Amino acid sequence: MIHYLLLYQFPFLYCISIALGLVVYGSDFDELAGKLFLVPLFLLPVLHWFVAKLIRPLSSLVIANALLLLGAILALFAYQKLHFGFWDEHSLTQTVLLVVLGILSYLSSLIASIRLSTWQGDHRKASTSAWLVLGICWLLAFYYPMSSLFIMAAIMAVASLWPVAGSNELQLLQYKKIPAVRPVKYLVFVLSLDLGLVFWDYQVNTGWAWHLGAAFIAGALGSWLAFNLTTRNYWMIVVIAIMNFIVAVIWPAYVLHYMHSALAGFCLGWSVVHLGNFQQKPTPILVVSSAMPIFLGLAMGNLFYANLAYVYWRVVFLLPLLMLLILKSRSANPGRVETVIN
Amino acid sequence: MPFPVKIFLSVVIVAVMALWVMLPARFDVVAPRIGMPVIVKAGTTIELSINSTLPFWQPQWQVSLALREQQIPLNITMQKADFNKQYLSVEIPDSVIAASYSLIVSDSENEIVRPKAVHVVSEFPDQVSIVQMADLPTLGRGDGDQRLQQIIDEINIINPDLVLMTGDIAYGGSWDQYHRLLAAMEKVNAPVIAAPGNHEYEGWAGYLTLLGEPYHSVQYGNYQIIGLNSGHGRDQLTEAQFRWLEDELNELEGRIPIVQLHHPIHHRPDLRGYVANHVADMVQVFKEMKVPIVLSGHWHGDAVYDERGNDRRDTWDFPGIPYVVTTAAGADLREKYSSSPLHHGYRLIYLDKGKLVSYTYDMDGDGDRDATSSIPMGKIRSTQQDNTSVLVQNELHESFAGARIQIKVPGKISNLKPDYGELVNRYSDNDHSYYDIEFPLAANSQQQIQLINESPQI
Repeated sequence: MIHYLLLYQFPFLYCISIALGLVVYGSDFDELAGKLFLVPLFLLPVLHWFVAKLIRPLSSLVIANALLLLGAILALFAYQKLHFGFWDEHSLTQTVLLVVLGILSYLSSLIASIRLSTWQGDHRKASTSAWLVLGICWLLAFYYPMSSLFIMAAIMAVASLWPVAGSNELQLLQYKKIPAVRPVKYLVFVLSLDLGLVFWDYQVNTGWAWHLGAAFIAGALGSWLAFNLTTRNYWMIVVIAIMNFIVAVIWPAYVLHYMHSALAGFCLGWSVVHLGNFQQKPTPILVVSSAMPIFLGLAMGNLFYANLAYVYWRVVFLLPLLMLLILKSRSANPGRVETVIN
Repeated sequence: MPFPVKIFLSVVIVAVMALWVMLPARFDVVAPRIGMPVIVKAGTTIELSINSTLPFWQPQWQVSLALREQQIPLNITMQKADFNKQYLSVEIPDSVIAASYSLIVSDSENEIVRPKAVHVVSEFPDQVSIVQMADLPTLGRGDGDQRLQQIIDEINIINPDLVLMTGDIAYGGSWDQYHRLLAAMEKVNAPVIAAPGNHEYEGWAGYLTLLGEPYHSVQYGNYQIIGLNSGHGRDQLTEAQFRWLEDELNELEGRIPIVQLHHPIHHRPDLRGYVANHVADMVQVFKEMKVPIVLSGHWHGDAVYDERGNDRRDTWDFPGIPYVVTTAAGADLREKYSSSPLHHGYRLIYLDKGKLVSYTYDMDGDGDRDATSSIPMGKIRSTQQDNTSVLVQNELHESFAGARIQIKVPGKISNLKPDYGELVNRYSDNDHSYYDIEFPLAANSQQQIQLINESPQI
C-alpha cells in the first residue's frame, strides 16, 4: 500500500493542494511568485520523457531513498511554514519551496511506479487501501487545510525505509485491459473539473474537506471494482460521470450534496486505475497521465467558474468526451475486449 | 535488519518529524477582527475563535483589551478546544468605558493584536445611523491615500454608529494596499464592517488574512449586519453561501437584518454587473425576513430599485425593500449607471427601531430628499484654527445631531471644556492632550468650537 500511496501522492496530495490553493486563496499572477506556482505542473509533462530515461538509476535504493527523505523533510518544512497561511504572502521563497517540493513529489511517484512494476503483491487491495488512506487524509484537512503536505512527508519517510520486494527484472502487471474504448484521460479531466466545483463553492470554508474525503472513500470502491474491467463497467462509469456532471449543472445546489462528490470520486477512482492498467512498462506515464488531467481539470474549472457566470456553459466540457466516446466506440474491436496481459 | 524493525524505525522517524513540525505551537485569532468586529455593552460576554497548530492544545490564554497605553485584562469564562479550533468566552467588565479597543490574545510565548476588533458602547440607540461606502480610491497610487483620509475625516465628523464598506475597498488588491487600508480603517472612530467586492479577488489572500471571512454576520444591538461576498466567480453567490444566508436569516431571533453585498441584485437590461444567481430566492427571503434595506456598490453611481426590480427615480419613500446602489467613494465614476448627479460620495442611512427613516440626500437643497442621491464628498470639513479652537464647515443640506470633532492641544490634560457642544472624552499622550467634542451641526452652517477653561481664574 505504501508504494501506491507514494504513487498517488503527486496527483492527489501535491496537485490537489496546489489547485486548492489557487481556488481558495487565488494567486497573484502579476508577480513572479504567482507564475512560478504553475511552472512544475506545466513543465513536468514536457520533461517527463527525459526523466523517464533516467528512471532506472533513480529507482536504485540509495538514490531513491535519499530523494524520498529529502522530499519528506521539504514537505514537513513546507507544511510548517504554510499550514497557517498557505498562499498568503505570495513570497518568492514559499513559491520556490513549493516548486522544489513539486519536483521531488513527482520523482517520488516515479520511483513508486518503478517499484510497483516489480511488486508481486495484491494490487487491488493495495490500491484500494491507498485511496482509503487518502480519503482519511482529506477528512483531516477540515482541521488542517494543508495537512496534505504533512501526509506527503509521512508517506515519503515511510516509503524510504520500506523494503522493496521483487527483483529488478521488469515484469508486466497482471492487469486486464480494455484497449478499445478509452478516452479515460479526458474523463479524469471532466471528473476533476466537476470536483473542482466543490472547492470553488466552499471557498475558505473547509466543508470541502468532507466532500473530498467522501470522494476518495468512494474512489476506493471505484479502485476496487476497476480491477475487474469490462466494457460494460466502463460504459456504466462514463454514464454515471456524465449524469452526475449534468445534474450539478442543472441543479447547482446538488454540488453541496455528498452524493455528487461520492459519485465523482467513485468514477475517478475507477478511471485512475484504468489509466494505470495501460501502463505496460514502468514509465512515468501513470503519474503524469493521472496527475495532469486532475490538475488541469481543477485549475481550468477554477478559471471557468471564477470568470463566467453562465454555469450552464459547463456542459461544453462534456462535448469532447462525447465525441471521443463516439469515435472510439466506432473503432472498437470487440474481439480485443478482456485481453489479459502477461 | 528484520522487517518489523524497519517499520518501527519508520514510525519513530515520522513521530519525531511530527513533533518537530508541531512544536512550537502557534495560533491565529480568526474572530473578531477589524472588518468583522464585536460590538457590545460593558458587562457582556464575547466569543473568540482561534485556530491553533496543535490539536486539543489549551495553553494559558491571556486576553485583554487595549486602548492606547492602557490594557484591560479580561476574564476567560469558558474555553473549549475542538481539535485545532479554540473557542474562548471572555467577559467585558462593567467598568470598561465605551470606546473602540484592540484585542490582544497571548499564550506564554506569542501575542496577536487585532486592532479595533472590539467596540464597547454605552447603549444601543433606537435611532441608528449608518454610513455606507463602496469602491474606494486606489491606495498607494496618485492621491488615493489622501482621498481616503478625507472620507474618513468626514465620516468621523458625521459620527455614525456603524460604517459599512461594501466591496472594492482595496481597489488594486495588492498586499501593500491592504496594509494601507488597514491603517486607514483604524482611524475610523465607528465600528467598520467590511464585505468584499470583485477587486478584492485581485489580492484575495490579503483580504482573508487581514480582514477576515468572505461572508459574515455582526450583531449591533437589535440589528444584524449581514455581509455577503458577491464578488465570487463573476458576480455570484456560491451555493454554500446562499445556504449560510438562509440559516443566518432563520436564526435572527427578532433582530433586524441589514444586508450589504457589493454587486447590485437588480439591474437594468442595458447594464452589466449584478448578482447573477439566486436573485429571486434572495428577494423572497429578504421580504420574508423583513430586511429594511439592501446595500450595494459596484456601479460607481447612485441607483435605487424596488423589490420587483423597478428602477426608482420617482421617490425614495416607496413600500417594500429599497435595493440601494451607492456611488463610488473614490474610484472612477460611470454616468450611465447613475440615476443621480454624478459625484463621489457615501450614503448615510437612518433607522429607527428597525424602521427605515432615510437613506438619500437632498442634493439640490429644495427641502425634499432625492430619490437616489448619496452624500457628495468634500462638503464637510474641520480645520484646527489654533491650539484650542476648531472651525467646522458643513456645506451639506443635512444636519447632524451628534457631530464629533477632536481638538488637539499641546501639553497635558487641563480643565478645558468646549464653548459649544459636549466634551465626551479626553486623553493625552506624551506631548498633546485630545478633547473629543460632540455637538449639533446644522445644515449649511459653520461652527467654531473653542476650548475654554472650565473654572476660569479671576
